[in-house]
Amino acid sequence: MKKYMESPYAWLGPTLVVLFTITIIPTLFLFFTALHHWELGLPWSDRVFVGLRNFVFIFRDFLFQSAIKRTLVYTLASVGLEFILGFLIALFLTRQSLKWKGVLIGMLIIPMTVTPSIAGLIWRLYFNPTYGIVNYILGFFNIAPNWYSYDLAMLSVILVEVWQWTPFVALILTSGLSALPVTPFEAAKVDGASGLQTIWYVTLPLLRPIILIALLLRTMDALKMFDVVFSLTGGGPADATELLSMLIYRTGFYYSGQVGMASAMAVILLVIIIALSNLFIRVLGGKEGEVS
Amino acid sequence: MRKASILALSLALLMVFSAVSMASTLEEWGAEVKAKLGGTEITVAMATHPSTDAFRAMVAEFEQLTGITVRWDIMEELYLHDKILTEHAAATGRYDVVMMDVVWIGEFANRKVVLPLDEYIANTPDWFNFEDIVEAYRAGLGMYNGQVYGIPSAGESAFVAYRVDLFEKYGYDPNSIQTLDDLLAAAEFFHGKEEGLSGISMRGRRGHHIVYGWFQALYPMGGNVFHPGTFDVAVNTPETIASLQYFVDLMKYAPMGIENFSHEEATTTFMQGHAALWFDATALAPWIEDASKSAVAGKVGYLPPPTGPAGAAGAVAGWNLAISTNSKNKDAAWAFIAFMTSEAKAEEYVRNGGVVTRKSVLTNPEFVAEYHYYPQILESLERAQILVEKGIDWRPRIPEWPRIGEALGLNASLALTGQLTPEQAMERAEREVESIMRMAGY
Repeated sequence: MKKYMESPYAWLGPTLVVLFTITIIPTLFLFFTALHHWELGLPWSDRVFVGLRNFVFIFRDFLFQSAIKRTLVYTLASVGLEFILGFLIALFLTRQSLKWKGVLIGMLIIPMTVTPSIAGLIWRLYFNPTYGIVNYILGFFNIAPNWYSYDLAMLSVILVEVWQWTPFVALILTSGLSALPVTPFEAAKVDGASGLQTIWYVTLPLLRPIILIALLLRTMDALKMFDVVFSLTGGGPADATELLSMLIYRTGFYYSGQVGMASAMAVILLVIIIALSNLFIRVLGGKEGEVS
Repeated sequence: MRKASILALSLALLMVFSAVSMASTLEEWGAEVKAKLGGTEITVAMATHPSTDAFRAMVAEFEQLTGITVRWDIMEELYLHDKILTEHAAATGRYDVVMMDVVWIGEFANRKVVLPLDEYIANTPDWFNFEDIVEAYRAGLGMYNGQVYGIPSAGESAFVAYRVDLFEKYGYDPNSIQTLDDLLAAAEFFHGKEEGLSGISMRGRRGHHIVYGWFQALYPMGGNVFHPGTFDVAVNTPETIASLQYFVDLMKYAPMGIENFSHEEATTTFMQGHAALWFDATALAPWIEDASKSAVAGKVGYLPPPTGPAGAAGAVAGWNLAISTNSKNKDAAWAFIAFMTSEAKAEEYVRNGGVVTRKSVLTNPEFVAEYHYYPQILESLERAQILVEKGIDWRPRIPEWPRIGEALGLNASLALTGQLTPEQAMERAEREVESIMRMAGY
């Protein structure tokens, strides 16, 4: 018994079993379903094996292609904005002379604690062009954009996402910044580097692994975005905010109940996420902590 | 008594139950049910809706009368649809009573998600009175293929509301709004007349909502989803295209943001005084007249849905209560449904915020005095009955309707936002609906 308890597998075992059951098995089921034609509500025995036909159809489907494009644009915009704003906030929070740091961080956490679909509902009220608070405030500057319009709907979704997750990036970067060694910065100061130069040549390279984590996590999440879009715009107007997850949901549930087709789309989304994550790790994870 | 013996007893007494209870009062029936089914627990799946709130207000009396306890599972209506189907696919038997939207009935009846209820109705005493339910609801909401699958619990048609004070101020006669063209003229007249005022507030959100708004014009203008009596797709007929064009034109006089309006935004905008007209579900009139929430309560008049070149038509929409085929407590589920939707309890139901479904309540002078829009509801229902008699479902209640609705909703939204002309949008819609019907084997 003692020997068993000393083995790492004894301690990891239960966790591995649980993880396997709740992640691997459903994923295998997903792959299996993607090769079938099966409609929601019909019994499992009614499924029909169709091989790769679902995938062939999807690759030719215009709706799918535009959804992928839209999702990539959305991810780039929201993660990009989150990173820039998050980094600025992190720089601000790590200033030596900052008072009330704890309170500020506490306030920052609040958007993250809101359930995404509720965030979507709240902002649906805020963005209402007639009686929403956003246009009320903007009214003082004499502008009242139609946040519900075809042109601005995507922006409204991006803004909600940025509102909710910039604090996440900011906090990760803050902890990263606080843990950086002081020496390179002192050296830079001695060498006469300006603030901007310090950031570009010292801070960012040192922070690379932390940035990698923040970007990786946010990108994986942004590619899967569903809740906010569902509550805020429902994928509309028209197809303005039809992201890939929305399309999968519609195909698998309300629109057509085609679970097999939706599973195939989900498999492709999975492949995209894995590919992008690997790309990130390769590009950013290279040489750790080197100062150029 | 232990549950097992109750179950055995109820099975044995099923025949006796139906014979004995035909002439009993509500109390007698309650006692019988308590003896047989007391101690059973049922789970009820419902959407967030005024009728759900009314049922919850009445459940204490039900539990006391019958000894059946009720567990609630309440969620937003689109989630409800998916949840019911998922539970059914997994055969969990989790839900006993399910609230079923009229547009799901084809799908649910076909996939045997819910039970036919004709036998239960026949064996329930007179205080239930199935025939008192408005005819358009009985036939148009709860029946499919000649069988009853759901008891209408919240019926609605659609009508127009207008701001009496604004019409008086500008000397506009509300009774001049008889046709769709009159409605368009009125909306145009009032749009921008005052700061922050739009002509008419309706739904425009992609999907189920824009279809609801657009269909108010579809049938009066002679449009159709299918050619009546057939399953030939008719979404690209000139009349259908014209009705979509009309809707797009009408929405020029709608509040900013109409592209994303569900019934909530449409009604709230009207309630806040930002629109002169409103055209939506009769079930929402209580919101408009609620002085604690509505800035225009008491200043609103109502009109039946305007007619068009093809005559009068009215919407039939609403909710049913149905029994899940996987339920392990079907008799108890029926007891709940019978109690909640009966004539005996109808007045209490409406007083608790429920949505009226019965002629007896709609014509009750006491209620008419309190809810002054009841006569217009009756008028709207009469126009709705015209479609029912022609054999046209306001939204075809076939199993494929949710998908067809989404296809129409997406294309109508493309037309509303100007991405496509109504003609192009309906051509696309025709192809999509054709392929849906073909895949379904029609």
